[in-house]
Amino acid sequence: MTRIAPSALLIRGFVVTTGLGALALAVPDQLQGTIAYGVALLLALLPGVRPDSWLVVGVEGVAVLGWLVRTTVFPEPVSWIALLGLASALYLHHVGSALAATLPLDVVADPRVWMRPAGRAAVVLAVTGLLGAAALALTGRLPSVGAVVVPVAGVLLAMLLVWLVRFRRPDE
Amino acid sequence: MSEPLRSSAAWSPTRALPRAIALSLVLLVCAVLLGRVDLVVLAAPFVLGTAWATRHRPRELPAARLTGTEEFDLEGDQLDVGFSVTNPSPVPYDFALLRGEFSEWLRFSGDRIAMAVPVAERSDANLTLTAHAERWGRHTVGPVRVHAIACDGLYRSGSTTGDRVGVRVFPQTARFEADDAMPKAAGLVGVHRSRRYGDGGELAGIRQFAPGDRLRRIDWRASLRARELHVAHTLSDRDAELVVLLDVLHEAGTPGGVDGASSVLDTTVRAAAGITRRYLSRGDRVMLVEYGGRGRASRAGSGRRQYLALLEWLLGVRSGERQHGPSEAFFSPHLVPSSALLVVLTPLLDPRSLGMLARLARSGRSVVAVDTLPPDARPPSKPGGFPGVRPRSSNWANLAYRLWRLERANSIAQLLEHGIPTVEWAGAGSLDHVLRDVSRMAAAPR
Repeated sequence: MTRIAPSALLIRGFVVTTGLGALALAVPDQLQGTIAYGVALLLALLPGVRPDSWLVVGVEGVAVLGWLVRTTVFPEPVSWIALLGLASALYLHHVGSALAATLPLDVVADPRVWMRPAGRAAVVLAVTGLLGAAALALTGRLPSVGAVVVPVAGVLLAMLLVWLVRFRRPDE
Repeated sequence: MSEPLRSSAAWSPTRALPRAIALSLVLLVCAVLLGRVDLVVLAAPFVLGTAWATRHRPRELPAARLTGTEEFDLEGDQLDVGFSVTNPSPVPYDFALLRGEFSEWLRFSGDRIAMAVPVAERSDANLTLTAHAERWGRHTVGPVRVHAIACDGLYRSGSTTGDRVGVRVFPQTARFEADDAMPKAAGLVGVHRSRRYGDGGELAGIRQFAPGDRLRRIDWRASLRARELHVAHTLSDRDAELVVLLDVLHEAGTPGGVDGASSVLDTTVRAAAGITRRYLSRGDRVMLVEYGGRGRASRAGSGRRQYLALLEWLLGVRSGERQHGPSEAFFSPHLVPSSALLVVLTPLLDPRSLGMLARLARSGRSVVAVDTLPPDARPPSKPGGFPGVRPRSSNWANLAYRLWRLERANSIAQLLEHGIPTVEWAGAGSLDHVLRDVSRMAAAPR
């Protein structure tokens, strides 16, 4: 029987926690309750068990869908704290799942293993926080944000992503 | 030091990379279609994080080596095993995963090691693990396989494997002391008393001076009294030849390592090591012979070098027999002197062992048998019954075992009648009384 190392349990627990946090932030206030959180916990456990599967992006997609429902069907205002919280939970869920998928259950990990990804994630989320603050401030002041700025920003980011993946070569 | 072997597999993306790309694209498309700036903010960390993590990707594969492995150790001691992981690329690894397989008798936290360590760009990560050598023998450390993860878990390297390294663990020599009784000390230089005159430490008497006597042997008191030169003559000190015969036809009992139960092979090897050390330290010549196994015989010799050579020889002891059965060719007089004392380490499980002992006794040699069967060893229970359920010993099995023990005790008594005393191995003092009896018998007129 494979012995499960504490480091593997730690990173998978992190995946479950961030998944649960993302789902909890996506649940509208009117639907919050034991049943909703119970369902959220069950969904969050799935990537913890199979972090190498598409269950990860499935849970993240459910969280995004819940966010859309929360902000359109139940028209709750989009606060910077909630938006940053959801973005952080989703991104940390993604990074945690990526590391958990590559770390077998019986592997004893040096504590320094988490330092580089954690540091990088902190910087990315800090930049995201600034972007989110700027985006919400612009939304309140400029009526053309939805029609012009968002499509332009979205297309630019998409092009950046495609260029990075398609054209970058490994470093020598 | 082991050399790494390279694998041809390159770096490949993990499933996390397409997941990040897919989710980012979906969020951005939805943001554009719905005009939602919050969806752009949700997509931003995925895009920025992926871009930053993958802006530099490694190309070279990691390499793993075993370093600082001690080539030999003693049973029960701690053994340090060093690992080194090399990152030749300019991109740091999130971590390198090492997996190694080791002999079951080198106790780390199991029979294999799996560790993850971060490795900076163009550098090595070194770690040392300590294992407990639980049993004698030739053990292997490795091979060690390594692969690396980089770019926040988005890229994975192919595996590389290093060679394995052999470690020799010498048996714990059971402390053995014995009286200074050797039946036929026929060698020229040693510590055993003999009845022959020569240069030695024990006074044999005083006689008249004869040509060739040493001047320092002159006894002046006796010479003055007798008004003729008299000298003190002594008994010579002789060395002896010891042949330790290891009966390895069968293995019985379950080995439990140095801190656990001993099997027949464990008792045999440790007793042989203890006896060898004792007699070699006293200047005697010792030779080891296998009865069964591969039928090997070591060279007879004395001194510390012989002790180390015999310890090395003991590592190759294996139970079983060859196709044509055990060989007794080593007991011809021109290979093993008739004056040699034979100590036979045997579990007395095979009728051929009993026959061999009887033939040795009839040939006039001095033989001592040491019983190496563990007291609680018994045949394994017959397999069968329900899977996963340990079969119980039936009353018939217990009765059969008692009958077998009685028959064995009867065989031991018959050996004694043939002049072969049999004792159980118990370390210090095990052979004292039997060696005295054997010496007395050897000195008796025939």
